[in-house]
Amino acid sequence: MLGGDASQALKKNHHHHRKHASVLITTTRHRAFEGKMYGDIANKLVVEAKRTQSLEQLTVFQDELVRSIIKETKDLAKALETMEDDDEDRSKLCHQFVAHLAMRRNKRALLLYEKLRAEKLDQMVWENKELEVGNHHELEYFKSYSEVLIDYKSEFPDVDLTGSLEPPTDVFIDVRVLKDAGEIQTEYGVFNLTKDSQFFVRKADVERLIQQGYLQLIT
Amino acid sequence: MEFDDILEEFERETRSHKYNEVEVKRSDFQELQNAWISERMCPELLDYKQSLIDRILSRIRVQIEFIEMNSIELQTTERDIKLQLMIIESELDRVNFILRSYLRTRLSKVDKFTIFIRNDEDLVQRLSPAETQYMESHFRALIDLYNSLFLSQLPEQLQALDDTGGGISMIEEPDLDRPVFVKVINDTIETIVIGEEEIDLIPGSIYLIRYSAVQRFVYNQDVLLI
Repeated sequence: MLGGDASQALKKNHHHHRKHASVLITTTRHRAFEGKMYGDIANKLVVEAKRTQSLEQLTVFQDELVRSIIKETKDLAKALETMEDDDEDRSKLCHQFVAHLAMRRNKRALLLYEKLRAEKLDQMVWENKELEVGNHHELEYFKSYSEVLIDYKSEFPDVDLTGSLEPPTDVFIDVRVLKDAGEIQTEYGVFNLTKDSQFFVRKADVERLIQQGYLQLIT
Repeated sequence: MEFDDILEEFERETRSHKYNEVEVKRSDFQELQNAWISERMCPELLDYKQSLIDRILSRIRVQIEFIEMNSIELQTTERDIKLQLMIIESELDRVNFILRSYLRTRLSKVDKFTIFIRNDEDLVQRLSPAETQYMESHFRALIDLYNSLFLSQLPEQLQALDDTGGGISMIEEPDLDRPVFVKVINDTIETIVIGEEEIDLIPGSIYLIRYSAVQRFVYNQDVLLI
């Protein structure tokens, strides 16, 4: 949704970074930035986003990085404001151009990072998982999306929308109980799910319990 | 009510009742399968099959009630019905799966192309009321998230989510030039021209072709995505 899919954005980001580097060398003479270049922090966030993309779990929110990027972007905007427009001064124009690019790139990095996190949060809502890490705002989002889904699902009370996206094979399956899960009532009777017991049950009745790790499929 | 529905209703009244019912059920299931495969293979979001889905849902309800009624008896005396129930369960499972996959494929496209869809009234028309509701609430929740985490703290000129300047568009669009497999159902009369090449679509044949070239035939179902 927001500016190309994630991998595309990652590629573009890297590409951009290289392109700036050569321009930046000329401007750092004017503005020493503790030996760093604009966009360095954003790059860290992009790398972090890429690293967590393949992880199953949501990682801790990079509060400090995000805050530094916001600060850098604000500082750049402030510097631009105080600068007078002068079409003749090439080095000043160049400076402005780089500042603009760096600001836009920072924004893209922030959005990319959070978009990937939001996608993971969505997935957790679908899989009925609890949110353990994540900050206050993400928890709010998690709750909102859960409600969005409840509303949508209520349109289809007889369709199990959270069920497996693999084509069904057997209606009835053998399962082993890994953790005590109490009693479940199905149309084919009541099952008392105590640890290490085995049952022959309707797959649709226990799919949720398999997802949650209470039961294991015996093949 | 759409034109097809009126025709179908007319047919339903004229043909012999029993025969007709079986036929309609069979063709509905075929139609659901086609809708599902098309949606999965198509780069863009297609029209929501409202009346078809409604009919299928009401039949699912009937089957579920049948199982519920008879499985109570199962625990007491009647044992012969067990096989029949298992067959119905299998059938339900399969229809359920196709419906689930169809609806979730649509939701994932809605999520992916939200801004693109919202910018075009014609595209919004393709959504069911529930999907529109889903898209709007999800979009709102995402904007709230971005705003509260960083977006509202950035300089004002950087706060847009649909910026297309600077050589990079923030709006993700479906790739209509993606190659797709299609099976030709009806004679399309028109010849497709791609560059220097002219292609006649022959009914019954299968082609691998860029989606944009056959888009209008997919809409009127002269060709089927496979």
